[in-house]
Amino acid sequence: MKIKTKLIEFEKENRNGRIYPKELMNSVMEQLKSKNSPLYGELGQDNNSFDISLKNISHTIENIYVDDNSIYGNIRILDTPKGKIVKELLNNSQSIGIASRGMGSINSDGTVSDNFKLLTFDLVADPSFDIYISRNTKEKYIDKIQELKETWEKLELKKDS
Amino acid sequence: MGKIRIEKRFIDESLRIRKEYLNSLTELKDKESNISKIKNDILESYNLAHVNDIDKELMETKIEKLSNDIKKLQNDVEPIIIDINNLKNDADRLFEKIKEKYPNVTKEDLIDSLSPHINNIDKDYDVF
Repeated sequence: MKIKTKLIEFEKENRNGRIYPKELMNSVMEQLKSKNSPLYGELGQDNNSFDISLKNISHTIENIYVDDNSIYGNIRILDTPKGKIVKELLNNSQSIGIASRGMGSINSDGTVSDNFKLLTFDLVADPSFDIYISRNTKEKYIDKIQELKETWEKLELKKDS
Repeated sequence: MGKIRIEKRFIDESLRIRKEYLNSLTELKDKESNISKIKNDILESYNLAHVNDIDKELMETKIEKLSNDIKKLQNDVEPIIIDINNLKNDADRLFEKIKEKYPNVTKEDLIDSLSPHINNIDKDYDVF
């Protein structure tokens, strides 16, 4: 399951009272692009952890790009235990939030300082920005057909080998 | 070394492997039409899912049928693929045994010696 979505907004105050200034956007993009791909994210977020916990990985983040004051990308939900939870929630019409995880200092006016290091984007229940992923009926059908197509392709590949 | 005279037990084993391989290949070929049909069904379902006014009942029936057909195909095809892989291992083991018995034999020598026997079997199958 692959979902195109906004990942983070700049120049806009989030629920934590933080603002990511637009000047940070290029640096964040460079950081993301320089990471070893794929970039993994977790279901749930431990703000005190700067490492990705392998057992909590639910998705990868791919094809990141900038549009206006935001960074967008594709969230690919994996067939890991946590990924399966995400799929089940989405198939039951739940929306799931996206939260960035990073480290850096906050200036007194609430802006995030230029020493900010972005680690990844996690899937959470209560994100600081109003950014959620969800699946409508049509998308759910297409996801299901895509999964069946992938099973069929694997079989076809095995047969031809 | 050229063409060699191989013990009958080795020839019999190579013929068994060849026959079973051709039987598996025939079974696999019989599934080809199902495999193509499923490919078409996937495309058709994609098209149905992309219309503006989705017929949910039709869509769910289609997806359920597609899912069952793919499961059935998996159950039919995967054991054949496993059999073919096992036969490949049997063939490797047989070659090692022949090498032990005839240390100077090359794969080409072996093919030369076995092909008259194998060609006899191949002509009864229509899988190539």
